[in-house]
Amino acid sequence: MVAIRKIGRREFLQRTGMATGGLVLGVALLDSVDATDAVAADTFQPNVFVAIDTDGRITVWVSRTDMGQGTRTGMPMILAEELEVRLDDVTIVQADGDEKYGHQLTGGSLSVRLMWDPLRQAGATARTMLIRAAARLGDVAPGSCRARDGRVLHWNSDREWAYGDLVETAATLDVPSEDEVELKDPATYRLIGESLDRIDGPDIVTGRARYGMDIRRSGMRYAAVARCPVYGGRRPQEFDPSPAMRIDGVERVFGIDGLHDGLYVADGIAVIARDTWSALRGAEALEIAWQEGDDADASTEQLHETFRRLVDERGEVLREDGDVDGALGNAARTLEATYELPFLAHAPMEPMNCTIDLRGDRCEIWTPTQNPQTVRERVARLLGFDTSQVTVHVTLVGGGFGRRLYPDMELEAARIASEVDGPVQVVWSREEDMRHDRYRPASLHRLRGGVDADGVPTALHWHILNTHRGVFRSDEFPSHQFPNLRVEYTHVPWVLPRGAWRSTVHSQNPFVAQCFLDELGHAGGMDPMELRLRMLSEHPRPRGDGDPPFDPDRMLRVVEEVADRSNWGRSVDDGHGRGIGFSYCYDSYVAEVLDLHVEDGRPKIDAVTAVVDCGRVINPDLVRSQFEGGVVFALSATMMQEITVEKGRVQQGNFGDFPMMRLSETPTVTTHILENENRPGGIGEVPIPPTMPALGNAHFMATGERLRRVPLFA
Amino acid sequence: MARFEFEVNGERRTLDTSGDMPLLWALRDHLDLPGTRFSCGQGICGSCTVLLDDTAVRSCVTPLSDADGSRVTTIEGLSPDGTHRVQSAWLAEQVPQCGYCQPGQIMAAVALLQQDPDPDDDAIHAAMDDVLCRCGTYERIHRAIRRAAKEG
Repeated sequence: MVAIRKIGRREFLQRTGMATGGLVLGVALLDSVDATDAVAADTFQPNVFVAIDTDGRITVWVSRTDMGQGTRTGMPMILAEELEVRLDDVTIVQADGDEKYGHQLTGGSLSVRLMWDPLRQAGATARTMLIRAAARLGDVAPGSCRARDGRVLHWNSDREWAYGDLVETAATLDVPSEDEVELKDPATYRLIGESLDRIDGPDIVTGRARYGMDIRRSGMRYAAVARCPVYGGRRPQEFDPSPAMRIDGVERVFGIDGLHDGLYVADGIAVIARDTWSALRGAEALEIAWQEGDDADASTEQLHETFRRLVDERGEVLREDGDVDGALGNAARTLEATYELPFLAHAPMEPMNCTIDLRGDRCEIWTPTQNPQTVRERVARLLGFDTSQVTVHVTLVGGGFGRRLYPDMELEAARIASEVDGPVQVVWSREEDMRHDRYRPASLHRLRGGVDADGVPTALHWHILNTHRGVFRSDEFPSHQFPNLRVEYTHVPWVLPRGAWRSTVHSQNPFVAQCFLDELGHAGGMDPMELRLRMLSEHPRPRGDGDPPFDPDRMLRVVEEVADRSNWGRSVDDGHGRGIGFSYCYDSYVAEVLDLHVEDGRPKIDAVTAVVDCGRVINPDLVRSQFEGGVVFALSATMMQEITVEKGRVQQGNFGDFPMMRLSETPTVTTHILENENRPGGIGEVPIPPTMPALGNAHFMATGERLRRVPLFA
Repeated sequence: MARFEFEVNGERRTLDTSGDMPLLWALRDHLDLPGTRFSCGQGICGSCTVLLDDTAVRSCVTPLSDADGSRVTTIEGLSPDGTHRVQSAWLAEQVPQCGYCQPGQIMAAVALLQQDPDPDDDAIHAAMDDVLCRCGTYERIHRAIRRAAKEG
């Protein structure tokens, strides 16, 4: 192996600002990338994200999970741009879970936001070193050379060097410091801003793409698990394994303990078999007398009764502006409304699964996770291992939406693997997946609002009751827009474990706030769009408020643009309606207008016009596809989905009772991207918050009926 | 236990197993063809759609005994190089997001276009409405089918 470094990796990363600068927090990198990283000899690898070999082959490590948002295309685009290579010339490798890659939790629409600086820096550093290598070989000044399409060209002669021919020399150079490395002028970008095709597309359409479910290891067994249907329940010490053992292909049946700490993994009975079918049938055949525990009578009906009882009591005051009670007393008109939102499952098409090979003091895991470092740490702790004894390979992910942030399936798999020789793949049935999810919390909201004689909203008192904590950011809408505002919060702890669900709390509060705003507008005789534009221009949230700092001009411009693009002022036929919603989340500003009409008492969603300002766009088609899909995801939830509990058991189990939108129900989604040079914002979750209230508001316009219980059309 | 013989993607295959095993698991776990996906296990979502003698079936609820003596086509066997017109249309429209359900979507679309080379919206809805996509790629699926029909 060519000696490629004269300084330690940690120093390089500190110099390039990756360890300390920008948004990459907590990056702690290995001191060196050693031979165990499976980098071929004679390879130039100036950092953990890129390597170039003597044949000019370029490898880029993608450190974050692709669950459909296009990370495995967008991340290499950023690096390839600065490296001056074509995306076609890059081979991508999915990085294992390892802190040397920095932050690897794929959630919070973070990937581009976090990796924008480090990936540009990684590519530019490599480019700078290749140019210096060429300058040394050609005995010319580095400033007289430039890089393009995998070659370094000398300005003043015809000489040029392919990257592969520069690798050995580049590897002997000192890694330059950050201020020696010049990032490209965005005006010269050739990849960033282009709608390049998804790298995984050809593998997906030919069936070659490998998800967690598709991992195959020599001698692998398959496992399914019967789990206690009540959360917190325990397995009996004794049970009859024979119903499962009688099934052809079943080899072993044994009990496994869950984890009853904050993470929660259910107790279960594992069935090991020679194929998935036998394992699933075996688990189904078992009749287990579970010790169901304290929550065997829990029901969501009771929970909502509790919400309704507690709503009249005082909650914790999260925000208090002006004099709410006085303003409500003086209002020309007041309104009161109660909104109710259900628990929701993630229901990704690929059920939970994990493949694990635990032998001696080594554990190797293949899993469709959004969070490989946490998997590694938690599994190591469970097994009494050091993290270096655990390898976590991240597969393609058949839908995540937040579900795969939690390492429960890997911990369960580790319990099973402790009892099995050789590799085993644990597969959850669809029903187990839906009944042992970590759910979007349920909530109830009571709002009292007042408008003045001109119809302008003056006061809002909002009481949020939620099964989860941390449900309101004091800077979120409508903070600042109401001179008199009180937001109260009551935490109602409940049995179902909570999970991050695409856009988290932004899947709840914006629906409520933006629907009630329309109610106030209607009470005051104001057009919903006019009302919003007025609030945002006359009482803007202050510039620089919050972290990241809010820009009121960007928010206003997005709403103005959606009014224009949707031709808001046009007349609307009887039975038709349009609604608006807007949001600021994940560093992006978004607004949508939704058009629907009512057919045989059911709404048909015709079109959604979206406007987004997400700063600099890496790949516009990826943004558009996230909007098309995100609208469907949000509409499915708002129109038809809920998780209910009776006798401690989740009632829904499959796509029949937890339905989703179908092709014929899908609206046309038109996405307008307001291009600008601000830092990139998030996209994966951004389409969810505005879609939900836009639906409720459009339905009100079409029918005059205000629906306040979600799902609106179950 | 019984012996089943059928043609999978042009190759004769035999399997000794119980006849009630769904075709899905025979393909995935015994014939090394994992491109056909498991999702609902109840014939609701269509991720497991394959062609049985040119008809689209849900392999998760099709017992192996129904495939005995038949011709099975999975996503892996649709074309030698991934250039079947439906696959090409899927790439041209950049349909997939997570991609997990797309083999089922593509096989359902292939069956539709075999029966109706120029399907109208109603025909597309009838053939595709029961093939679910959690990522919500439906708009592009619709466009890709129209494109494949036009270019067919």
